Amino acid sequence: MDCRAVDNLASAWLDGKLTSGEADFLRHLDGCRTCARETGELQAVLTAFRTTGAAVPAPAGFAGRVMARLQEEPLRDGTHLLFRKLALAASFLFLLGMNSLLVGRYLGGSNRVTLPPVPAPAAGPVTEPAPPELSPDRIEQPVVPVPGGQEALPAKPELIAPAVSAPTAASVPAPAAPVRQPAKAQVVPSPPPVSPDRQQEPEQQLRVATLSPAVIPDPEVFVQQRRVTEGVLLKVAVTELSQASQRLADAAGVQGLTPVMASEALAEDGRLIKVYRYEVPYLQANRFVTEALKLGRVLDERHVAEDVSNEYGRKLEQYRQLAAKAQEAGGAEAEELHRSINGLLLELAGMHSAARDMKAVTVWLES
Amino acid sequence: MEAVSQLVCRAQKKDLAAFEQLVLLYQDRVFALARRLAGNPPDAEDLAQEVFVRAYRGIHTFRGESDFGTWLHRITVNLWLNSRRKASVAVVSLDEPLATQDGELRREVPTLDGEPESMLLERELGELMQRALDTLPKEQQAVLVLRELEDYTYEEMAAILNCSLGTVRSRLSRARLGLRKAVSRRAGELGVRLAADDGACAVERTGERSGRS
Repeated sequence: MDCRAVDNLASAWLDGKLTSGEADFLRHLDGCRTCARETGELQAVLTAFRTTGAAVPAPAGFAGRVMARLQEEPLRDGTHLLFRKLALAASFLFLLGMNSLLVGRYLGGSNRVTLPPVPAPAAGPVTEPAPPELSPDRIEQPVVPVPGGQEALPAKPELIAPAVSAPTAASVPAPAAPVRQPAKAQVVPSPPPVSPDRQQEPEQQLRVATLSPAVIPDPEVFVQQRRVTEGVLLKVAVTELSQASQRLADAAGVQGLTPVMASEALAEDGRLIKVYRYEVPYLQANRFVTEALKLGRVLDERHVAEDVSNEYGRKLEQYRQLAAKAQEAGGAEAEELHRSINGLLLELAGMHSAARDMKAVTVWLES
Repeated sequence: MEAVSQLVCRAQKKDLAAFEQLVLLYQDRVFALARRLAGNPPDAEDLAQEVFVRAYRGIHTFRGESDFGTWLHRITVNLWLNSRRKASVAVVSLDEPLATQDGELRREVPTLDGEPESMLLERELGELMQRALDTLPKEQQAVLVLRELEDYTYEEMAAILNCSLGTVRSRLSRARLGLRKAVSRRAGELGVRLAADDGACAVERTGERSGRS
């Protein structure tokens, strides 16, 4: 045994963890004055370290200060610090079940991490499908103050609607809903399709329309066809979380991308995890993914393609049934139906657009 | 006083009063670790407060698999490791003359009357250790504090730091050797010598430097 080995074993020996090699270790100390001195010194230093590190009790008033902070905290419901702005900017694409699934897959066998909920669509009164495997906590919805001290009227939902019939004047009052800020759902003109399949697809005219509950657009424009959404999920271990987030934001900024979702989660051990989701135009996706992979040590990279045709068909069918029902219903029931219909429309539009020219890139950063 | 598990259960339902009791129960444990890691009282207070705030937000993730105090320590260590390196505090030597516009001033350090020599030595030793500790990478500081001062086992440390036993072992070994070297270096500069005496430790002045008292 040489002196270097002794150096490496000394620590284990001090903790009584050197069982098999102990005899060798001690024999070396017997014969090597330097190692014996250094090991003695190590013991002395550690003893000194222990004597100087006496426990200091919490200062007076500490608990009170903690509680004051907790009471001041806006109600955040659990761990979730969804950045408000980003949550508001969150588009209908949230409703793509795929994305929650993507993140959800990482949680598969892990009971250590709780993820924030997929934010409820920040648009107006639409149905909010409870995120399946995630906590039901909701993001806080800002109340829009109105001059005069009254609460703002429910924002009109701005939905993506197929350009079929122009909405007529709202004859039915907008459904009473929690006061929320509408998120502008926008459909960006689609970049040139990529795959041959995609090229065959007829150009769909989508536009933002204000949907009054009295008008139910006919979603025939969403023809039944094969729809595949693609996504990439990157799990990257970084040394410094906020720095890495900044670098990611910079890389995205260069490409004109902003996250459609950003959330933090606290693992049970207090580690922070940040999850960002970007909807990246198909042609740009590789470049962006390459940038994201440079952020740190890549723990996982998954490419997911999901055929959402069946789900699309199911939702379309559901939509049609509800639409038929809504024609006959009245009053509160109709309002309720319209809300569900609006939600379905959003989902259909989102699936349609995402399947065509977007790639969902989810970047999970942990330190 | 209710059992901790009941308090945790109530706190998980957002019962602030129950959480307050948990703060009172665990504040000393958390603060002690925060103080050892952060190195000074104001930073320790910030860290410890943050620990409880985070703990409250994330309490629903606590499943009782570990002791609640250990869980809080886990948050403490990880928050500290994730915090930016503390801004290096400019350390001035009391023995250096202070340059002012009016020329050099000698710093006057009041000495408490009748303060025994041993007290001074103890303080000096504490300062020496803190400075030596500060020279180590944060991950190494964490294992040293957890092992030597908090008396955690290797297994517990692995759980707290979310790493393997092997990592704990090698990190602790490097940390201990690093501390030994940093202490000897610093002691040499100060003109004191650490003497091992049956495992106990004493500081001896080597007389190379004039004592302050």
